[in-house]
Amino acid sequence: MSLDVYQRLLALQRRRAVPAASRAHRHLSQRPWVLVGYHLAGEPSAPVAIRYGSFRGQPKLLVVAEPRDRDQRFAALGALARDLATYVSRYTETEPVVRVGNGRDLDVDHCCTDAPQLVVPNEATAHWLDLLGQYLRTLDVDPVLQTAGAHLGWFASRRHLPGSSAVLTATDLLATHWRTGQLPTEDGHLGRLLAWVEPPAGQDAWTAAAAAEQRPPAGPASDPEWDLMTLRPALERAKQLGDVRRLKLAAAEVLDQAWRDTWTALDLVALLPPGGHTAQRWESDRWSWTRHRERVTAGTIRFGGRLSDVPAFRFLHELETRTVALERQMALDDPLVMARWLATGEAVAGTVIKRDLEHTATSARGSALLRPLLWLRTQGFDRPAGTELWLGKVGLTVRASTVDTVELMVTSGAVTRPKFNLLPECDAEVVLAPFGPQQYFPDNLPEELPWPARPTRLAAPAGDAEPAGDTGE
Amino acid sequence: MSEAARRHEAAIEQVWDRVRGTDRAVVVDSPPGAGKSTLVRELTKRLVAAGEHVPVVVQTNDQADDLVIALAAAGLRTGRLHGTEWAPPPRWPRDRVRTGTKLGELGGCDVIVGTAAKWAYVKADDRVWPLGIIDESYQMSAAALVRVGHLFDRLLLVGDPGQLAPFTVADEHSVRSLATWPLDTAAGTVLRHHPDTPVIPLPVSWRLAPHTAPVISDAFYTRPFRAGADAQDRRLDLHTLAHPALSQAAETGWALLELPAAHVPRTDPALVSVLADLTHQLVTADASTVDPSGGRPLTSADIAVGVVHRDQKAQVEAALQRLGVTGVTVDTANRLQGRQYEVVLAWHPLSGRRDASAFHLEAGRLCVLASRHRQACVVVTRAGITDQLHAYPAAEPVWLGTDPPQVDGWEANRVFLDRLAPFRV
Amino acid sequence: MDPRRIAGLLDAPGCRRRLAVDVSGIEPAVLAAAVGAAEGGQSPYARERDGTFAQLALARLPELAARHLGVRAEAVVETDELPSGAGLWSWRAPKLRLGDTDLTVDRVLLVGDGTRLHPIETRSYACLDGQADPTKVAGTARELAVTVAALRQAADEPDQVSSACLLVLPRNFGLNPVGTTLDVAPQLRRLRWVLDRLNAGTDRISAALEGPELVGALGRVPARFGDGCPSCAVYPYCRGDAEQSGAAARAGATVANLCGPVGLAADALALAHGDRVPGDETEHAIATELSRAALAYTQAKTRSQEPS
Ligand code: SF4
Repeated sequence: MSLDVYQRLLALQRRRAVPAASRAHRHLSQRPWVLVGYHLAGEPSAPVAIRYGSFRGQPKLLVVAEPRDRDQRFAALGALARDLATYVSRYTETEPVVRVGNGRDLDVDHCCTDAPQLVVPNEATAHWLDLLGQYLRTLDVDPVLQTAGAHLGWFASRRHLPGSSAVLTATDLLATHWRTGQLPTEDGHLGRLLAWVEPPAGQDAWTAAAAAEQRPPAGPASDPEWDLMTLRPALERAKQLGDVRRLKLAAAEVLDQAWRDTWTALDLVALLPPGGHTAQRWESDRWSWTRHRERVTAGTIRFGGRLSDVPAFRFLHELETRTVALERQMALDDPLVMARWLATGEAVAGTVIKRDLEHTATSARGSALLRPLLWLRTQGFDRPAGTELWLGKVGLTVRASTVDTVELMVTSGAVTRPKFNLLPECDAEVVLAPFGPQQYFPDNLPEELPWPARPTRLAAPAGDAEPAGDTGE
Repeated sequence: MSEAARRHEAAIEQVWDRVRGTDRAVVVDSPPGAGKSTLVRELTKRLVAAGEHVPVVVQTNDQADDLVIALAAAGLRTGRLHGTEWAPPPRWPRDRVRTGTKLGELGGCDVIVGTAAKWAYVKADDRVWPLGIIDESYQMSAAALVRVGHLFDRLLLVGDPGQLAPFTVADEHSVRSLATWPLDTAAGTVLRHHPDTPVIPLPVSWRLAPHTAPVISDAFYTRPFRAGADAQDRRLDLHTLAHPALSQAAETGWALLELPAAHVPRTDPALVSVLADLTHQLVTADASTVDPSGGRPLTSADIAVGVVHRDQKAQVEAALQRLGVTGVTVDTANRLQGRQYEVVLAWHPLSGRRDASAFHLEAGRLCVLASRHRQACVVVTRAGITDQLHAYPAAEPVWLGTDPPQVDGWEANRVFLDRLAPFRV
Repeated sequence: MDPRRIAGLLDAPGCRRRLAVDVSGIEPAVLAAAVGAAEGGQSPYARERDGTFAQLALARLPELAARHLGVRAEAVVETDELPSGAGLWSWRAPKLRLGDTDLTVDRVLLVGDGTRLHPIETRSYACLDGQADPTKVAGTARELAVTVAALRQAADEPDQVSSACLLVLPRNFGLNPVGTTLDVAPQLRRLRWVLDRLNAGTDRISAALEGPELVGALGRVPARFGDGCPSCAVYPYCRGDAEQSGAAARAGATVANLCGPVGLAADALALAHGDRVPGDETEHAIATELSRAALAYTQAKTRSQEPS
């Protein structure tokens, strides 16, 4: 979109990121669980070092002296799992919520008052935790590990849903709220991105970003050179002498940057007032967490592989609904986001200069219908007559336009006198959006796939009949 | 009967045999203007004559209305299952047609027509039909098929495989990471799950002319087809002096009008004004369209301007309004699917870009724009598309277990451009 | 050149500088030193894992070939020419050429189903639940396309070599090999076209140049900065170049697409803010788009200060 381009140009010229949002569009927990870490190159199930915790001043550090050794690996993951269990155990308090159930009955349901939030530096770390969760669920050595796997599975299931704040990645947080002047793929590097948003005093983004690149990567892949020069000797020493101090020191040093950067990203977004719909979206995370917890407690939690059959279609429906909802809610909450549609000319900003509340149109059956008219002073409107626009719940259609005025007819939402108070007064400044309130449709899916869409034979991934035991040993 | 007509008839009989046979599903691949609507009407008539009740699933309300009008004209008692906001279009037949939002209101009808979205609300325990017809089944998504499939014991799926595949706003990477890809066409889904399903291609396009059909067939289809019309059958007469692109297109069916190469924003004003001018000239050129049924003046309703983005549509419409041209269809490829005009002016999806994108390279998009016309198609673009194709990195993500698309957008674009080169103005 | 290098031509085929580097055979290490790139390299752990997996995969090939291509073969047989018929072969240091370029490959693994040969590739990124990182698979597919093209050139009958390859990956979290078939036909088509257009007027740089001289020579070949650049060996240089010159393309393809012929960010912004008179109708169009964005942004910033 052209606004995006303009903002990137501005950022280029100012050598500093420019705001792309004026509201926080993600829920920020009072007490997030932040995690950064490395795994052994090419082996996601073999963590080398993980730093995590809910307080920036007191992170925990886990190191695995022999990442390929099963026992050591499980010991470290066990510690992580127990800490995760402690963290999520804070989110058990529920409150009664009254909902309109079937018919007119009121149902009382219970929803957790808050939910856990996982914060990681980047997409790759989030993906790593998905995998780690999957890995933990394949193990049957320790129920604590399995429960941790289940929780990570919950985070993973929320992560791809637009508008969910159960998992935040620092890069996504920053890229949602700021626009840089570098390549979009470069925005995936937390250090570089942060250098654009908040360059150190006296430095421009170029210098700061170049410096950030020289620092250790934010994980979960470590720097090959570091692997060779630092990690390997440290691991050797730990293995031979049973002394992990050097390993801890080395790990703490390299992970420190990612740890600080992730917290800085949270701080920066926290400076923005929350968007109007943010809490509503978080509520959906809370409900999901409530259900997840119930299943964990009841021991009925199940994780399959990738979704298929009806759940795959349900997931698609949910993704589609949420994608549209998030886009619209952000625009309605935040003028800087709505500006994208103004920039393309799909939305219109202007001043009401005249109203005709008595105007009527003739219906197909010949009766007169009340259809008020509004005139707007604006700039450079170039859409044809017939274009539909919205002011909140009020729908309008463009009847005619000149270079600087638009004539609009109200077609829905305020076509009876009692609703006229929803119409703007003369001299009011308004922004007409190209979309109205969102309509929710039930997914309306059958309980099982009908025959035309049912595989004659269940499609299994290649290597279906492979023996079990792909757990990294 | 001409050779083309014989082959067409043979294909129809083959479909009919299959429909009366035992295959669980039958797919009919119909290239642009191959007589798909006629086929659906004809088969419905035969089925009704054989005493069956025929449910027909279409994709849009316009398609449903058109079909109902045609079926009623063919003498069938037809029911239109519709949503609450539907209103009958002009010239809605009163005889033999019932309308309703519920099946119960359509008693006594031999045929029931509704959109996939509407059929999705029909409960299976209401009734299961022995055979259902799905029209535009390559435009219909697997998700829509899943919601109606249980209503039918067997299915006849008819559609044009060259059209735009169903579209989702969902992020492809998210969907594919967590789920086996549920985004396919209805026809594609059936063929994947029931690999023995017979596919019968309709071999003849009655819309496209002999000189335009091969270009479309070569660039966009894996099953080749030919034109049914003879070279002398059709003519577009322009009586007043027209733009060379129009006279070229009138003469050969194609014209490729290239503006000087430039990288421009997608609402390229030069392209907008050229398209508006060409349209204006066409409506004022005192043109007539001639085919074996005779000649008649070309009207605005015979003309469409096909664009890629909604803002282009808005700009072209506004430009036409300024020139006082009314009644010409201006729309995006999405919405032009399944429609037909005498003359189409097409905005090439890659025009004026520096870098191609997967969206702009999609084979279906170009195919729809280039195959809506009976007489002539003028493709308008900035020069430099070959360079764009050349510069396009082969970096598309590859998901294991999915076959490469049968028609590759990049390749289709290349072939199309190649075949259009002789018609450059 | 190795297949990876040639496949690199498909990463950014529109950039003349990139093509020049690739066709001139400049040593990667020399180039990296000249442009100040970090020594890429592989982690020792990744290398160990690669080696282990390649061994495991080789041992399991007969089983995988049977499962995925229905080929019965007892073991992998060494060959020193393009084989035919049914079986499993390892062809060490094959003499392969692509066009006039020698292709350096350690070994090509092939499975023959009786009529056609299918190349086999082993990689050590994981196949989880039947799915692997699509970007990595795409990279592998491009390299396989190079191998297929070279094998076809070596074959009497190009059709003898199929574009459907067998890809062997470790399954889930372990090192158990699994196979999937991967059809590289689309990548092959793209490769053909790039190669066909390659020799006509590609810029050449002397492979003897080093350091600042090499950089100078690079700078004289026109470049096309875009989203694919970070994977390119010349990237550090081009990035610095784009930054210093104030190129709009520095911010990515979307920006470059809208700005079109207006190459400099400052000029584009001047158009946006009405500080520069559009030179022609294209600039006019750009100015219209950007000035509307500028206005929308300025007004929105004011609006965003008001309490909502
Ligand atoms: S970095 Fe980009 S611009 Fe530079 S040579 Fe490589 S592809 Fe071309």
